[in-house]
This record gives sequence, structure tokens and C-alpha cells, in this order.
Amino acid sequence: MKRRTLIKAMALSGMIPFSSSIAQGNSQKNPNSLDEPSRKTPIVKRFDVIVCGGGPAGIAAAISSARSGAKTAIIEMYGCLGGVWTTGLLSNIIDYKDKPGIMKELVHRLEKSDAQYSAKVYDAELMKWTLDQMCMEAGIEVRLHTKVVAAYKGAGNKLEHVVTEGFSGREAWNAKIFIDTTGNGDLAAHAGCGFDLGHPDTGKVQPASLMAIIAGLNEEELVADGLMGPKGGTTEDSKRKLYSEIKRAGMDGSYSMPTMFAIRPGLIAMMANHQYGMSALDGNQVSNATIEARDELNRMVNGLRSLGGSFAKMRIVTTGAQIGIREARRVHGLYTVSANDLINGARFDDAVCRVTFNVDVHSLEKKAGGGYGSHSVRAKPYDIPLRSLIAKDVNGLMMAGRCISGDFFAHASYRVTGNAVAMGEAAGQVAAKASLENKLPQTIKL
Amino acid sequence: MKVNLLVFILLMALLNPPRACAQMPFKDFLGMKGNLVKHPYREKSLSASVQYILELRNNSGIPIWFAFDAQKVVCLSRNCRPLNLWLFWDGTGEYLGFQLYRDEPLTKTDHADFELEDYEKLHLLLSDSGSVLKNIEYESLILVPENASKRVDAYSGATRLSLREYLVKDAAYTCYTLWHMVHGPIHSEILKILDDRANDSYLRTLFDQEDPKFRRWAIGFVKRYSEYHGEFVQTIMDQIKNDDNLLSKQALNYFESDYLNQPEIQKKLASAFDKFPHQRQFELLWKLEACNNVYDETITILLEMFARNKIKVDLLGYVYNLIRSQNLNNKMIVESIKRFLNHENLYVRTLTKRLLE
Repeated sequence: MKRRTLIKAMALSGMIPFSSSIAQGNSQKNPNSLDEPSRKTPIVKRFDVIVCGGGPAGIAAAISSARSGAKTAIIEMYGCLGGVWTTGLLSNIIDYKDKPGIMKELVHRLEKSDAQYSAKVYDAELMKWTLDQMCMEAGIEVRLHTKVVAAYKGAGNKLEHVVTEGFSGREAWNAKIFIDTTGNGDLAAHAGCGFDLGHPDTGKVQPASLMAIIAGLNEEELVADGLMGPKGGTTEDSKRKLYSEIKRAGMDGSYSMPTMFAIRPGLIAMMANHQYGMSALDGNQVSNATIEARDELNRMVNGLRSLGGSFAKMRIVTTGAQIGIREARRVHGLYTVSANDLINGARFDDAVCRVTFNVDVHSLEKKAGGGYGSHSVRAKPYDIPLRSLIAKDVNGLMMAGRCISGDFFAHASYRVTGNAVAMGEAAGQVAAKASLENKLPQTIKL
Repeated sequence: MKVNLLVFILLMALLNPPRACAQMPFKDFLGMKGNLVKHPYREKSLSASVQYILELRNNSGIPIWFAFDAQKVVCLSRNCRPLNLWLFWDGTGEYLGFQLYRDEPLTKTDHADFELEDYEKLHLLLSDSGSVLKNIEYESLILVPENASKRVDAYSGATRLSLREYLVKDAAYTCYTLWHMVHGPIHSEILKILDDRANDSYLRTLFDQEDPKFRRWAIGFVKRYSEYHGEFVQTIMDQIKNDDNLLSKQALNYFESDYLNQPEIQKKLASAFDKFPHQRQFELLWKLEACNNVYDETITILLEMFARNKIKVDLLGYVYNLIRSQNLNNKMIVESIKRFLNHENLYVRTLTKRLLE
């Protein structure tokens, strides 16, 4: 397509902001940068609360905010709500059991819609639908396919606008309070918040993993062969057995404790790879990791199928549209949850979530074993305080999910999605109250 | 049959010294004080010809524990040795723990003594009444070497891989045998003893106990024997308010659809709704949603509670889910709902508008 034809096609399709950039951008002055022309970005809507990121923390934050009476929007970069639950195909909710409120409501609805095969294993497609319904019922404005690309503060160091890119081009959104539930802490970083990343000594981050949904396996055969635990679950032994089978198929799998568990009869979820050293803050690294992971999973499944037996009809139905990122920014908050809090089973007056999951650090590099461990931090059930959900460096900004304020080891425990929901629910309530009373979140009591 | 406690303890000291092994992390159940009762019991598969289920009661006649002296010969690797220990169940028939004979630790296939963590793991797996061991045949526990004798007890094999996490390493048969003793016929006999004892007076005593497990048991009993429903329905309803999550949940679960479809029950539950824990409120609304009919009075009570801020806003959507077209023929309900069109909360206004549309 010729350049002129391309610009015309873009203009006709309503992509004016992009075409104008191409038309007026000037890369002549400095070959390594592009000076974009300044422009006026329309403020599409004004809300009391805007939640950025539609994953487990985000949907809970948006629902509780809306129910608390705040005019609420949620902005999600992929085409469905749920984040790692849906686009990531996680298929398994960890540390959800004793979580009240929205978590219980969600489990009730999943059970009612036949989305759950066992207590915590769910069908990602039905999860998408369930989350849509919950958000619609709460009267939330849901914007999909839209990514936050900038954030601007106003008086009092208070976050006032976010700028997004999506099908409508570039748009600005105004809110009284924002909640960063992007997982990676993208909004907080755009707003200028400080953050920590990686292991305190080495800076290394936990590996990412790409989930796959598998068909053509028989659950009973897998259990009989020791490749799956009883009742469709997974055990340490079944993981070791699967790893040895992957080796027998001629592959040195990147993850030494691969997992298969049944979602429903005939449908198995598989988590079988590690992408080491991937920075979630680097688009190239995330892209390459995703491609490498998909390649490894396909070669792995082909290899296993060649072994015959239980694997003879094994096929990948789909892999996640997004790679599962365990670790990215830990945004600085008014309190930082630490390993000591876990060891002591900390309790706080402003507790919003009781975490019962252990410290789960997946190998930071393959030569460290390729599995997971607790790095000798033995956690007792502990609380997450509201203060760790409130940004320290920017006013009017909260966090929920794995990007809250914590150290490397604490993050390795609270990062799982059952906790994200509880944190999101609390953040939503506080944000709503703060916005309706024109206060900052740190002045609100739960 | 009551036996003098001192005589019994003396007897036990002479025959089966009730001191646990030094490494045992569990309670000295046999050292507890109370009134001892013997229930004759015959279990054919066990070594002893006459057995008893022992019961220790407190002064109110409430059982502290039930115990059984499990003596069984276990054969592994053509080498047989007795498996001797006491098994204990609590006053509601739930597994409580075990206590070893003095100087008789449990041993593994290779005759090594159980370590502390092995006892802890054994205790955990015996505590799991829904263990995978429930539906597994003994023969499928271990992998049979091809040259082994077909007599199951006569070889030592590797534990089947998929079961390893559910068993103490190198002690598959011991775990399996004990699990089936704890959750098998002896357990059924204890439950029968408890059922046979229950009457109005005993149930009242149980509902007065501070320990919620007795109240949970009493609720379960009344659920199985509906002739007690009339007398205890209000008492059970009151338990829903309890802070003990298990008790509160069990009390609510007492009310299945047959009771919930009764207008009087619905009215009582709705009237006490604001006193229930938040999570129970959700669950009751979900139960009512599954009922054939939710009566106008029930809905009116709940709407009024919401209007008075006695129930939280996150429940309103589920209250509205109870409302069917026939309920909207009731002008009082419609008027009650219309009030919320001007509610200060945007969500409430939107939800209400949607309902009335």
C-alpha cells in the first residue's frame, strides 16, 4: 500500500490522531527521537473513580467503588475483563478460600453458571462472562482495548488525568481518585511514583509463564500414570513425573515443576514453562518471552504426543493472549509490607486482607533448579494494611493487586489473585468514599 | 457401664501403660480426668477377641472423647509386627488424635521408627475424612514388583506415585489401615452411640455448651430427625448470628428449600436478617433466590431494613433478584422500591431504575 493510500485509509477509519502524527512528526532533527507535535486531547468523561487494569484486583475495585455510590470506570488493555484469570488463562484461583465479599460472590456465580469444575478451578470463558455481568450490574463504565499511556497531576501533587490509547485514538480521562490495578504498576509509574523491582540483592525478577489449555487427555489415565493428582488436582509427585516425561520426550523444560490440572472433563490447564529474566517493563522482552514460551509449549506438547500412551491425542486448544507476569513494579506506598510481617503474622488496625499463601518464589534463573521455593521465609497468616494500597509519592492514587507496596518476599506471597480481589474491594470502597467526600484516601477509615 | 476411674487408670498402667512416646507431639488423652464408660464392641478384623469403645464424659454427661485400643497385626516384607495404639474421637465423633503405647513407636517398611514429622503427617491425613484413601482399594496403594508373590501382605512395594503426598513415606499400609479404622465401622459405632443417646434434654444440653462443635452436632441431628424441628427451629436460627463461622454456616444450611418455602420460616429469617454475619446474609439471599416463592412479606421486611440502613448496599442487587413479577403486583412493595429512585447512592438509583423498567 502506498503511503498516500495508507493515510487515506486511516483517515477514513477514524484514526486521525495517528495519521496526523505521521503527517507532522519530525525525525529530521535527531535521528534517535521523534518530536511529536503538541495537541489537545479530548477529555472523554469525568468520573469519581477510575480503575486502570481490569484484572482480579481491578474488577473488585470497580465493583465496590460503584456500589459505594461513586461514578466509576474501568480501563482494560485487552478485550475482556479478568486479566491473568482470562487473557492469561490462569484457570485457578489461589488463596481465595477465606476471602469474604466479592470473592465469595464471584465463586457463587461461577458455581451457578457451571464455570467451576472443582472448588477453585474455573473455566476462563465463563469467567469473562461472569465478570462482564457483575460490572454491568454495578453500573460501571467498562472500556476495553484501551491502554493507559500517560498520567498528569494537578494542584497538591494530586493525580487528575490519565491519557489512554485505543480504538478511539488518544483520550484523556478525569477522576477524583485513581486506582492502579495494572499489576505492573504502569499507572503509578506514569504518574511519577517511586517503585522497587526484583530481588533486593540481585534485582532479578520471578520468571513469567504462559498458560495453555489442552485437549485430548484423559483425566483418569493421567491420575493412574501419576501425571495428575486425584480429583483432577496436582501434587509435587505429579509435577516431577510430568517433568520426567517432558525430558523423555527430548526436552529440557524450562520449568522443573510443570503442572496439569483438570478444568472440566476433557479440558486440562497446563503451566509448564518459565521465562527467566524477563522485565515486564520492556516491550521487546515481553514479546520475545511470549513467543519463546509459545514455542516451548508447542514443542513440548508435540514431544509428549510422540511418546504415545496417555499423551497420544494431546493437543493445545489455546495459549494465553497474555503471558502470566509474576513480578513487576512494587509501588512505594504509605506502608511497605515486609518479610518480617509475614514471619510475625502481622495484624493491623487498617487491615484489608488476610493472606494465607506462603512465600512462593519461582526460580530466578534456570540454574537455580527451575522450580520454586520460599527462600527460607516461613509465613504465618498475615494482614495487608490499607496504607500499603495508598501511593506515597502522588496524591489521589491507590494500588491493589501485586503492585502494592511490599518487599520482594512479601510480594511473593500476597501476589496471588485471591488476595488481589480482597485488596481491590477495599481500595474501591476507600476510593469511592474519598471521591464522594472530596478527601484523600489516607484520611478515610474503613 | 461406668467404671471407677482410678481402677481403670491402674489397670491401664499395668496392662497398657498409657504414656506416649517421647517424640509424640499430641495430647495425653488417657491422662485426662472424667467419668469413664465402656461400650462393648466387636471388630472382627482386629487381634483382640473382646473390645470396648471407651468414653470419657464430663460431669454434665457430655463426652470428652471416645477411644479405641487398636491392636492389629501388620505384615510387611514377610515380617509381621503388631500395630498398637489408641485412637481418639471427640464428643461429636470427629477424629481427635492418637496415642502410642509406651516404647512402641510406629515403624515403616524398613523398620525405621516414625519421625516427628511422620506422626504429624499421619495425624493430618487421619484428620481428613474426605481423603482419597476413602475410595482406594488396598491393592492399588503400592506398585507390585513383577516377581512378587500375589499375597498382598507379603511384599514391600513402592507407594504409587500419585498417592505419595497423601501417605507417610514407607508406611502406606499403616496409614491406610489407620485411616479406615478412624473413619470406618468404629466411627459408625460411635456415631450410633451418640444418636441413641440424643433426646430433647440431651439436645438442650448440647445447645447450652460453649464449644460450638456440640451445637453443630445438635443441628446435624435435628436435621436428620425432623421430629425435633418444631422444638429447636428457633434455637437453630439463633445460631446463624454466631461469630463462629462453621456454626453459623451450618445453622443457615439447616434451612433447605422445604423449610425455606414456608412463609413463617421466611418471615423469621428475614426479621433476623440484619443480625446475621454479612457473608450469611449473602448466602441466605442466594438460598431464597432458589426458592419457588419468595413471599411479599419477606421482601417488604428486607426492603425496609435497607431503607433504614440496617443492611449494606452490596446486598441490594441480590434482594432485588428475589423480586418476581407477582411481587410487583403488591403496591406496597412497588412504593417501597420507588423510594430508592432518589437514594443518595448512584448505584442504588441505577439498580432501582433498572428493576422498575
